[in-house]
Amino acid sequence: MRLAAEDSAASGLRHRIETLFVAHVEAVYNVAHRVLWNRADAEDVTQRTFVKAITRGEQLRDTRRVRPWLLQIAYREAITVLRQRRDVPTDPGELPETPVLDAAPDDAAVASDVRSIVGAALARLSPDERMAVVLRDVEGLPMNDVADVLGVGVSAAKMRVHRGRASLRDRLATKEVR
Amino acid sequence: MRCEDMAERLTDLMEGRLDPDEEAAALAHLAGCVHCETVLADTRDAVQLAQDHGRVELADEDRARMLDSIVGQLAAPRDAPSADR
Repeated sequence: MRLAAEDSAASGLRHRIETLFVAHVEAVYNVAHRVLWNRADAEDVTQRTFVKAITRGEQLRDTRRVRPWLLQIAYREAITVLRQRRDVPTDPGELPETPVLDAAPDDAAVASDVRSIVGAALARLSPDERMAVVLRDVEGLPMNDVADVLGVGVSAAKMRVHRGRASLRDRLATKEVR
Repeated sequence: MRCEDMAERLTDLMEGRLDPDEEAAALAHLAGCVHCETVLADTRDAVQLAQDHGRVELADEDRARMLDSIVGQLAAPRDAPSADR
């Protein structure tokens, strides 16, 4: 009986984790990666984010707040990793080159190339502006939640989004992605 | 409204955060200013591109590995006492 109960509890735990994970993993991973630019570190941060969230648990009851809360954990964890390591490619020259579109690529190649171009443009924003744009425009958080995740006031968040969008616009304006 | 004023209000206009008078002034300026109209259109395009293509792709196998690891980490402390029994 005890084994059956333990199996049931383990199954329930996995279901609870899986539900949360499936709904938010892409956003959490994206935030981590846009800070760290490294898949292995982004995966570590993603795992730590979900482990912390499930362990704390109580804030998961408010479904409207779950996404910003998870992204806040992920952002802080990623910043901690960033501060700990010394091999961060902060020089834009070390970031991946922006690809050029082929003359007549197929749809999948176009989507992939556009993703690369947008990623390269995001990479060249300042870290503050990049994260503001990622949270507001890529992840679709309301401005208040962007401010909460970044740990700044709404006015500062809005200014970062404003400047980030302008930089992104200028960097994408010369690319043939429209 | 001057172009500099329009540039400052671009995000508020896009976010629907201008008060009615400011919004009317901004729209009137846009109607007569090709430069600002182009800037707004380009900014909207950039935001759309970020929405559509701004996420880093996550492979299915990476997703599965992370989920297994998370479940393992969270299940481990609960399993620990039973190992002592």
